[in-house]
Amino acid sequence: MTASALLLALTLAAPADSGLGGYLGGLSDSTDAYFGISGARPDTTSFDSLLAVGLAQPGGILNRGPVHFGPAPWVGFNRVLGPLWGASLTASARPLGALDGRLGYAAGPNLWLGGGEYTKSWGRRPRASRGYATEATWTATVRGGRFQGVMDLDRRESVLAVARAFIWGTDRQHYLLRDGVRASLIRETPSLRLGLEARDELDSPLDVTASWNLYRREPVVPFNLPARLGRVHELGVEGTVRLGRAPAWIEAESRWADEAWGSDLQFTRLRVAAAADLPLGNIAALIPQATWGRLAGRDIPQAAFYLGGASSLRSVPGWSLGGTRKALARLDLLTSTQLFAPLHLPPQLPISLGAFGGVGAVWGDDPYGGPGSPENEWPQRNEWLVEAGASLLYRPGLPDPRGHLRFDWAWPIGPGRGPGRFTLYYSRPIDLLRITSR
Amino acid sequence: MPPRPALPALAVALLALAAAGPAAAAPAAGPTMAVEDTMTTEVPEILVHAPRVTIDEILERVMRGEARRDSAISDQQFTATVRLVRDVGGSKPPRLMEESVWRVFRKRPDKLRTVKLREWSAKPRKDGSSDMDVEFSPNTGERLITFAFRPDARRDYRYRILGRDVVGDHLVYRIGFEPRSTLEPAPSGMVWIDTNEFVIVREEVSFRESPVPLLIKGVKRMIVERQRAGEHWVLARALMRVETTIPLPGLGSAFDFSIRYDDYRHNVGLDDKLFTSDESQ
Repeated sequence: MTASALLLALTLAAPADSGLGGYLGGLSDSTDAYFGISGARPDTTSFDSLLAVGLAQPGGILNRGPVHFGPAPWVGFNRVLGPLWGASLTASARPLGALDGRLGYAAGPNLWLGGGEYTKSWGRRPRASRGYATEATWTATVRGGRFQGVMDLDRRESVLAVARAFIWGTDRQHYLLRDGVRASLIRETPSLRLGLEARDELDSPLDVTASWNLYRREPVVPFNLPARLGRVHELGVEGTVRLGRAPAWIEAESRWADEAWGSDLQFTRLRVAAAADLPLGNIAALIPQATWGRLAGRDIPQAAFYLGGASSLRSVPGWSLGGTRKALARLDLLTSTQLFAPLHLPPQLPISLGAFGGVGAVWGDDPYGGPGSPENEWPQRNEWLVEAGASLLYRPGLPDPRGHLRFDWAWPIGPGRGPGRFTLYYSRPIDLLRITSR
Repeated sequence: MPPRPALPALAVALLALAAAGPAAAAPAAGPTMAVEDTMTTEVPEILVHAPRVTIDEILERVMRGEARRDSAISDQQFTATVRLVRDVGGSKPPRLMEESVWRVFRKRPDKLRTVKLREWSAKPRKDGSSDMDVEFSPNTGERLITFAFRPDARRDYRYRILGRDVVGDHLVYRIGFEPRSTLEPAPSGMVWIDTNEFVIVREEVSFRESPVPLLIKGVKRMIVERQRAGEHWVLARALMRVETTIPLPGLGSAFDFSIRYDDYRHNVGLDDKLFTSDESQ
């Protein structure tokens, strides 16, 4: 018998898994040595009797109480509401969904705000793996009450905007009041996100009531663009699709309000956007984004398109330009945090650098009352706003794992443009559309 | 006078000693083992025509292997032990802070029942309950270990073969994975794949940067192990050591989070009556 034949015979004679078991056991032993008591087998004394008692109960979750309550403060500040003082209470139960109720008092206009929102999701996976599922998740939301809304339907700032308005008076968003009911249904897979939304709300203008701030500076925007008063019966659809295996997405959204449905305002709003995340090895990513929108409807500022500021053209003051047509394209180059590994920065300070360029324009009817420009013609070459800039980014991981705190310095390019602008804001790197979960 | 050995002969002898290693250089006391030189073997050269298995083929087979593994389970029950341990990896002895033990019952397609067998806390609330909230899924797909190898995840990760180990009659591939996007705080790591069934038998996960830098300095080590329970490969343990940027109340600046899975039973035909509607999803 040759040596190889002997070895083969010995191998075949051994139990099929003994080799693999020993191999994995060796690896597992090293895990034991590292983690110690964390991975040890539990003491199973009395488990049989406890299991018998537990199975006699209606269900494990009922023992813990099916409803979880989450109280939280609801506070805010801007130039139309002044300080907002309030509280919210969320009641959630896994099979039933979550009910959120909130009530607040806006000290500026002496107005009570609040209402309720019910959210129910299906097909959610455990937190550890959420976002990698192939199955569709559904989320239904119904909200009723009186809430403050923002004029720009495509973006809004929240926490940082409150802090800036309160400390320095740099509150550039325009606001309106919405009373009524809205409902939405969203279906999402890793490749496709579809949404349907309907609302029956009374849109009302709001006046500026708070011109003060902590540093006693003049508010950068001393007025609030008045919304057109009217009950709006609106239907909206939106869809975002990932393009096969490529890290690229296309989004389309349309909203309609029609007098035939009893709406005081009549308009059709369409927006499309595209974006990609193109890695350049392990050191950087190139992020091209573009969006285009058109509004058919006269004198409806709450449905118009706006340009300027964070997540837009950063060399233009936020929301300072508006129109019934909009086109915007941006290209961001963001370095990986790994690029700074040689600097041995603390792990809690993962910073990266970026460079960007952008071009955009709004035209058509001007919601700010300007002369406007023809809707059906693209702007002249000199009406396009062009910029370039640099960014310093920090990703805190909260509240959004993909969100960055961005310090952007943008320089306008072209004759007659003002000086560069510094912008501090929080956003995802892809911010002109909502990418599907990965 | 004996003749002096020739220099070349001495050099050959020294070389032979060096090649034989230190054991031969220092002969031990006791019987001398003769070198077997009568049994020779010759293996003829074989020209391999088949192309070497590619990473794409391995990934395809893993996808099918995992799907086959999952589809073979119609119902499942196991005991899960969830622990939080503080003061790990330092000079102080580790301290168990929270432990809960559950018997979990699952049945296809979406039935789930959990029975809490123990809840222990080093700092219990007044009502005796613990701060730890545990949620199980009715799914038997074990995404905790397969997340980077699911069909829809392949476009978001890069893979490469890191090594192969022949273990008995098993060939185990070690495959590394990392997210394609530099913007994504997704984990990277390495899996061990048993090519007999093309299932993942072990995974080590790492994060190139902290998922939550504001609070977590880093995940120092994360390991997910599988075990063979009868005919099925199933989760054995998932362990993670986390270092925080600031000491967290009750957890300190380094803690372990672990889930251990024991006492599996499969396909026993669990009765639908066992499952209450409040947990079935």
